[in-house]
Amino acid sequence: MVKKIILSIVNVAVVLIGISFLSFALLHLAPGNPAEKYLTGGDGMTGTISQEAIQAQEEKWGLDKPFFVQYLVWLGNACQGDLGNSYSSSRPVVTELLDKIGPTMILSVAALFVTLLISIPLGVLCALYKDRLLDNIVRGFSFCGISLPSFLTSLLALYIFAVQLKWIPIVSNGSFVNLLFPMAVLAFQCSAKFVRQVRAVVLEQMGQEYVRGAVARGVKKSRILFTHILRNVWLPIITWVGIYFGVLLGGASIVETIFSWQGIGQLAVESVNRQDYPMIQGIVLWMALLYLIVNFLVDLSYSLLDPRVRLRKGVRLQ
Amino acid sequence: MSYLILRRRSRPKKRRQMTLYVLMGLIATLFLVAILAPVIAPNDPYQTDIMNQQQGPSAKYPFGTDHLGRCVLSRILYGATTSLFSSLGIITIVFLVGSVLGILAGYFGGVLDTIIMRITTILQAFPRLILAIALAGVLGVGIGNTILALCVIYWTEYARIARSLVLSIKERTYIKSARVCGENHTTIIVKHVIPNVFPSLIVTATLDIGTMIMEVAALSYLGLGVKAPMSEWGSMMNLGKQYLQTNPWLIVVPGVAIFITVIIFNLFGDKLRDALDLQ
Amino acid sequence: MKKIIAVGLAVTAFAGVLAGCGGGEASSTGSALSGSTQAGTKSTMVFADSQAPTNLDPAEGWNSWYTSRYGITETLFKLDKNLSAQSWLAEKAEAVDNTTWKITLRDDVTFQNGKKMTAQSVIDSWKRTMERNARLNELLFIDAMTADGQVLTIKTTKPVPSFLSNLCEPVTGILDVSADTDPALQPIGTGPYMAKSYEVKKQCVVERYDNYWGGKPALEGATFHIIADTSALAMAQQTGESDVSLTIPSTSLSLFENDSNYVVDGAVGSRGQVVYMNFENEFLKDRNVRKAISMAIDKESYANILNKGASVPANGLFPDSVAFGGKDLEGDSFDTAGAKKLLTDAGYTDTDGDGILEKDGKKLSLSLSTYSTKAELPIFSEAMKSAFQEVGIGLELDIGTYDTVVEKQKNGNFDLMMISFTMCPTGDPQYFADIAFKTGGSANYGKYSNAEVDALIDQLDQEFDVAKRNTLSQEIQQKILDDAGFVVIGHAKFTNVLNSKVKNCETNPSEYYLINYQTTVEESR
Repeated sequence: MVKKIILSIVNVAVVLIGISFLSFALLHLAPGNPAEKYLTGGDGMTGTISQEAIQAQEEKWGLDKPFFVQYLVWLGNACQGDLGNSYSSSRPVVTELLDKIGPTMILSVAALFVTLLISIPLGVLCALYKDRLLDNIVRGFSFCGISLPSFLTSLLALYIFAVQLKWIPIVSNGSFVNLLFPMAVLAFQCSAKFVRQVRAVVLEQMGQEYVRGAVARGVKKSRILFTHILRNVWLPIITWVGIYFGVLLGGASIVETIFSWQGIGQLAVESVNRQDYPMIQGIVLWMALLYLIVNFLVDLSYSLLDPRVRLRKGVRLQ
Repeated sequence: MSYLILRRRSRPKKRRQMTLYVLMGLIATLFLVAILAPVIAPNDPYQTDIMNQQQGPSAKYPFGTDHLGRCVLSRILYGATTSLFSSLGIITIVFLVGSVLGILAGYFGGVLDTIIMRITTILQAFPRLILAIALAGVLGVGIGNTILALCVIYWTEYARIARSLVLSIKERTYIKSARVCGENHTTIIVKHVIPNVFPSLIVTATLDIGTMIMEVAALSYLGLGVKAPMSEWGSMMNLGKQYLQTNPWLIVVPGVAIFITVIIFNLFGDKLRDALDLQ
Repeated sequence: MKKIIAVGLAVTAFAGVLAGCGGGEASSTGSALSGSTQAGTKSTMVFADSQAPTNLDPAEGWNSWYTSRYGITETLFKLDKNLSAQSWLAEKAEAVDNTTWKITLRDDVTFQNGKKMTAQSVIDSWKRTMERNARLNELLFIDAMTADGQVLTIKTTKPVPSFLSNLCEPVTGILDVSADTDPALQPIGTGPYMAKSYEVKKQCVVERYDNYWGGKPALEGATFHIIADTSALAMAQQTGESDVSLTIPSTSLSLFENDSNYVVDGAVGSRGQVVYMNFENEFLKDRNVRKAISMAIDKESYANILNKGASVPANGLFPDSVAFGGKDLEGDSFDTAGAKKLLTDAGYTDTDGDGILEKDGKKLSLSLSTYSTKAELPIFSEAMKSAFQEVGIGLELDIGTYDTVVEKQKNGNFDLMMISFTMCPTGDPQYFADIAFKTGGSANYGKYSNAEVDALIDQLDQEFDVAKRNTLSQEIQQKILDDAGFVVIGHAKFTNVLNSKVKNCETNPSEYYLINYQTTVEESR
């Protein structure tokens, strides 16, 4: 057990280093100069600045050093828990992250929770009542959710509920009401896909020989559903939960921006636009870590939920 | 509730097949429309007419004109080519690459599994949006680069799902007995694994067609995507965002186009799944 | 059949929801957010902007622009709506010689902690800013400063004729650096409002400074919301949650125009849509081609129709509205036929019948690089593609990110380039003339070079007389227009949307200012 945990930690470390290197490399390969951007104010073209000033700024941030040196310096500091200061705000990256991680976690977890609450029962019902009225209604909503981009759903929600009905304010104050709408938009979007995927895997199981066999043997049908089918669909379902959590954590920036929800997504887009290297590295690392933890739990649940996987030697962290 | 379990088999096979053919016909029509756009489009999709911009529907412009006075209908028809072929291209690539690697990883396990899954983990743990923007920055503008960037991001999803599906069937009796009978791995994978893994992956793939159109749009917004003035549904939608309150036509028309496409591919995916399941 | 019905229902719902948003115009201005002090006016006001400072320390980055807008910090001079410098914290200034300025400060200015502002406090404030921000000295070129009571003497390292204009840039704002508060949260400036709290990228709350030198501020306080998405920002103005909104996109302005509840207040600034020509391109070396390009652009329609009046067409290069601008110059007017004729006369013919002209067997085909973060640029470029096609010039669009364009500026790898550039950030022509028009200038990306223009710019660099500077600026522009060395399509308006009950909150084209001590809002009935 101890050995397994140590192995997992080593694995996490390897993945994190891989990710941090990949992002560092991509950031440095992309066109643009963060020092120049900081001094000229980004896309504004509000002014040009002397080459000396840019060089001085680059030296201050260590951008004049070779790429690998820069990376190793960053890695060394990161290992000691120092992620540096944000270029644009000069505050420590860790402080900035701690400010924003809470709202993002709340939003992601809430949205994921609602998604599961909607999708799993509906998905199972749709499989059972395939091609019946319920299935078709759900299918219709599903299509809407898939073909409406999140910015449109969000803006429509704001327009209807804030501008026309005046139920909610546009300016978020972080309260429950303000959580409700971004959460609903995200949950709607994730559910649209997830409900179809749940339906598909349940149908998949229903076609399996063991189900047919059980039916033939006269096993009670509710028993087949709960003891056989549902037990077998947990595996892919949990895999999807892991994937959706990653998507929600990293990809809710549009929804966050429109609903003025002060989360990581907004910070990420801004940091990328400003080429705030330390901030982006910090975000990437944090997100990756969260993602890995969640997926470790997913993997763990594989072995708990599916005895056949447990037969294989140990749980591997994927 | 579960008494319905076996009812789904009760529909006559012929009718099921008919539906499948009808849907295939619709898909063919979509592509036909895309290919024949130059013939059937009422106007030149690139011809700007500043004086007649933001017009509502008329006889000359059935769906009105956009902010540059171009015919929205013609742009939708021309855009079908870009949108359909790019999203279908991405899906095909990620589906093939992802599911093949996922199946191999799941089936053989060991070092191969570790390597493949390590790469997928790195790519998936990377915040998607940052990865997309960073790739966009490095690769530059163009539809080819957009496809590449999206493939890099999306194949992992298929690999993971395929792998988990394989893991869930790997220890089943029929596969074990096949191995005991001396069938080689290739035969087992082709005969037993793929038929069990593909159906639910196909559903995901058909669902993702719409997603891909939107993703291409998102990248267009960030400056990757298609090169202007080429028309493409997602970027038309992005453009429409600005006119949501003032000229909703600009977002409704591409929205409906995407919607119809999603429906057709999705229903097709469902029916195809059923057909594959029956074999 | 059921499926078809279900799908049909879904389509109807989708279309219905969408159609719903084309309908009514919300016109409520009621705001429950503020109480009232005296009859008739409210005690607080709400502003909304899509952009935000990283913190409130004016010395860092561009934060000073926001502390200036929020009424916290002030500068020695101030730009009026024609972008000319007027005294503010300073009473007067005189140039002792080419490199020495003597500035007399007002005697009645106190910082928000009650301390008096003296020449020494200006020096201390600037020294602190200079340590943190290279921008200050790129504007002022300070060699040495001495303080004597309220008189500040500055020696510059080189002649800076635009010194007074440069003193308007908010980064030169005055801060009490001896105060023991953290400037990032509580900068102590001289303005009518003091920072109360700032939540990064969320909101800034300010409260009245009773002893403000100009008089007692009209409001008890104000809130500045940051709403990053501009569509949501426009909606906040519609619901009445904000009294004044900045940066509402031009495409949403029609929601507020022709509605008596709102005032759309635009001021033409100096942010121009500048088209660069690359003089290393063999076609662009030909003045006829450049002229034809200039004539093919319908500046009027681009500004008024495509950009919904959010910019004004430029006759010259600098804004027509400023004293040194291009109002009376002789520019090219939109003339497709004339452009065609010009090219035909110069020997360009369409030999293969594809609509694109050729000369010496080479196709007159160019590329245009621009970026999409400024919404009007891709729109203009698409219109240009069509317009050039009419004339017989092939145009390939290369719309990338801002960074890719910057890269092209550096390696010169473009034919035509269109960027949005603040040409006179401090209301003076010299800056842009130096960097863009002059041979070897740092922003002369297309390598434009004209000896006569260079000579005129050199004169401008030494000339301290404002009237002569204006004449020089116009001569420079006329030469460049004759050359068709640059094309400026128009200049953006800095537009605020105000609740019509807001008083004394005039939009300034410099983008430096927003709230002042007289700004107030009447109580709605």
